[in-house]
Amino acid sequence: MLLRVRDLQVHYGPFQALFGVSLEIDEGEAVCLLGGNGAGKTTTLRALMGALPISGGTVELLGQRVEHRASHELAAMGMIHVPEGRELFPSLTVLENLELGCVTPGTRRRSAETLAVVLDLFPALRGRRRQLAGTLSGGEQQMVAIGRGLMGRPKLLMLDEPSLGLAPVLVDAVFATLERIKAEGTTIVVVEQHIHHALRVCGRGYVLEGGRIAQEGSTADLGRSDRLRAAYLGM
Amino acid sequence: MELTPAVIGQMLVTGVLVGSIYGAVAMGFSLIFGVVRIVNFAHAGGVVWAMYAVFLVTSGGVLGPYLATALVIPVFFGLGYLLQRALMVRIADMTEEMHIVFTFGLLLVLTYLAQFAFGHDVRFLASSERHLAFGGIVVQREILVGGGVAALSALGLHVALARTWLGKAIRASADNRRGAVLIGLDVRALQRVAVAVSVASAALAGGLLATFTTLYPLRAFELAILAFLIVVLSGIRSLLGSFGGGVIVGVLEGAGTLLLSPSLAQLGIHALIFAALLIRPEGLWGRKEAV
Amino acid sequence: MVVGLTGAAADYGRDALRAFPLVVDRVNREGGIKAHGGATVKLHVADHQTDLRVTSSETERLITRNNVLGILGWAASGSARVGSEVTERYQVPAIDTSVDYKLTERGLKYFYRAAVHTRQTCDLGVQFVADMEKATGKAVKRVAILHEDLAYGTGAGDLYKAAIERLGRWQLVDRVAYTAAKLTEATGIVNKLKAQNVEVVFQASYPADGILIQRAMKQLRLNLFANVHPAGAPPNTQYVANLKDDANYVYTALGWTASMFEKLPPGARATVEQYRKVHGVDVQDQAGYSLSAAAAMVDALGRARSLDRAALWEAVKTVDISFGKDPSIIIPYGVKWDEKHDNAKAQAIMTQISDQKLVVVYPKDLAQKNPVFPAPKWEERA
Repeated sequence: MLLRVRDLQVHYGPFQALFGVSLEIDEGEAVCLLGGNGAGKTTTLRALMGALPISGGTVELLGQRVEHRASHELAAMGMIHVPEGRELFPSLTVLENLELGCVTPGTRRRSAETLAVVLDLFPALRGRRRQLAGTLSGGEQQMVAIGRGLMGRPKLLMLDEPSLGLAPVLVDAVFATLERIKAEGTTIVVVEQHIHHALRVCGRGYVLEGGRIAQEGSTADLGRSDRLRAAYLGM
Repeated sequence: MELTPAVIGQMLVTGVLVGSIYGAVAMGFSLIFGVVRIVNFAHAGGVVWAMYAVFLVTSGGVLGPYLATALVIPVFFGLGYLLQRALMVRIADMTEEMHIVFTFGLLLVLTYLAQFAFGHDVRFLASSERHLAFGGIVVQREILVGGGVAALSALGLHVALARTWLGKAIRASADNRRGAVLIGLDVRALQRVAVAVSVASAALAGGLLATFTTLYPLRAFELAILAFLIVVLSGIRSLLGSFGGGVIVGVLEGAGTLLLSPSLAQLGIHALIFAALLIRPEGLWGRKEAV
Repeated sequence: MVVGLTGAAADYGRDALRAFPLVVDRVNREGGIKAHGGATVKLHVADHQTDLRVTSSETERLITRNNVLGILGWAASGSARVGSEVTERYQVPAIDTSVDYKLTERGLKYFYRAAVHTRQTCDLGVQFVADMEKATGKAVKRVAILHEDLAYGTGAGDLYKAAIERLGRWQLVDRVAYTAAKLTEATGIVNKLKAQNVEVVFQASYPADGILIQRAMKQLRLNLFANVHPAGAPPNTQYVANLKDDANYVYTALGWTASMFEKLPPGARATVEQYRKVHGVDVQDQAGYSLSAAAAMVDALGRARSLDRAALWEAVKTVDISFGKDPSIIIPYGVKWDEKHDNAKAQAIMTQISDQKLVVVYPKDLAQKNPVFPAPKWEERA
């Protein structure tokens, strides 16, 4: 088991945002977190990444309890976050943004090698290496954000709404890339609004509602779920 | 007045060299603002304490001012690291006004401690009495070395920030702090390093200043205003920008002294603060919204 | 007495506090004021903290609560300005030791000043250079004034300018003002002077900036006939301590310097020795002025027809004591008031730094050495 989350609880001040979320993710899996706005998807991801304080529950990564570790410690263990809104470093170049994904000395030693792989995955970035990240289009920025995550040689890559704000054709491209990343053996957790894409790439999924897991199962089952269609897709 | 080439050359050379050292003072001030988002007026207190430290080490008679500076720099690096760890991190989440109150308070404390420890007396390091003369221009060795070392250190720091992974990470955490945290950069550690480098640069600037100017506690206030002015002028975009701002201020001061009057030149430089804030208020404060 | 024992003028205040009791104690030891049945003189001490508001209130307190007959003070020009307004209002005679020439230009009736003031030191500077020009045949053509831009320097600049214009012989090519606290290095200023080929600089500086300027003069080889100060930086011990031999040949006009000791009359010499023994420090100019002020006050008390303020004022008006007769007077040549209530008998002396010491070069009867004019070129100094 790569990641085991039990009864995760998170508070924003007096307001409780997560009421006991439990997840299990195996090595090599691709899992999606689904749910409407405010269901707690991003909160779950950020809490797992050490960017929000956890008020209850346990998180095990590779068999170690990690619920009180800081983001940089988790990143060093191989849990890498591609944040919502991309969160690039706009006044740094594309290349610098990618290099900063190498958060551990070990990944920095192999950065040239990893960079070649990332540029193969995103050939469009090759010619834009010296360009400032802030001047890229939204799709290119998303590529940099994912590429930056890959530079850290993740064991577990957690993507938060990678399709947000992208034109449909670009969304397709992003998910095609995710399929390739998955095919190379990287475990993926993806928070997604584009449910069809998510269901295509991911084998399993969790549906969050009001800070709780409302449903879980294979994507095939979830795809057929009336409840999901009703609550989430508005059908 | 005869504005011979020698007279103008003298003004320009001295202006550029002294301005370089102003730039070195401003550089560390701008680094802290860029990375930690704190307007650190206490930076100038660090410069003055470094001047005293260099003065004390050299008064032993064993080490010259440059070796003394080399000794003081790592000590200040450590102090800067502790400063960030113990103090700055506590005020990081407060408002900008509180930052100014806090760091200005720290500047007062450092200044009055210096008065308490060293008195009001004016101190002065013995001069090497060496000059470089060419074409009627005379440059004191200390000013030449000081300006040169300041320029090299600005360049070195710029290269370190531009080329090394640590430098890029420091710039990244200044550029988008939340993003840096989310992708797993240890932003607090980076901030500690940045503040330590900044305080070490204060030590360097102080050591260089101590070799040719007079030393008394209240100089800290003048240097604080100077650094603030330069950083406002240069819009805090980059370290080299701050350094260049220092050079410009040095040359303006020299030209104003020669062509108008020293009082007017000194006043004029300070009036530039207001002009700069009027013309480009985004210079210092606007960047927060820009990211 | 009201002086600043704390605050920026504390050094002067402490000198005054050392000097006033010396005179008062001597009178009391010798049987008090004989004309009034051996009445003892009591000295009330108040600290004005170099703060103008405190100066007013403390001066008023001495007058209304302690019922003092006269005030000795204020040993700081700013405090003297406001303190003297209080003594004027209460019609209390006051003898001051501050040096700002403007203090006696207000036409106050009860305010007197025993010190050598800045008009005297500046006028002496200009007159001295004019005399040297005649004595040596080295004609001076171009002069400049260089001063810091606060009250002290600006006042001195005005006085130098007036004196130079009165003399009418030299071309005043520039008057350069600078802000002392903001000066990092001074070659810019000296470069400006050099570009104008000046031969004499009249300079009013504080120690820190004075040191920087003098160093820059050496560095840029600004060779002057004379560099003349009104007290200011050169008498400060830090000036010579920092500049060493580079301070040599600088002129400064002042009221007192320790090297005058040997030329003093025996009584005055004993007073200086006693001061040094009691307090463990050398007499500075403020202490010298304070001795003069206290001696004048005691003299007036002895001649006052009765022990009230009006009678004391009448007696203060006619003070006339002399160097060599009254042992408390160490500043030549005594105390006597002119129409402005300045001390007509106080004589500024001209000193020149020679082998890192202030040496009296004028007036003749006090001179220890002959002045060196013009000063040797920097290139020719050992």
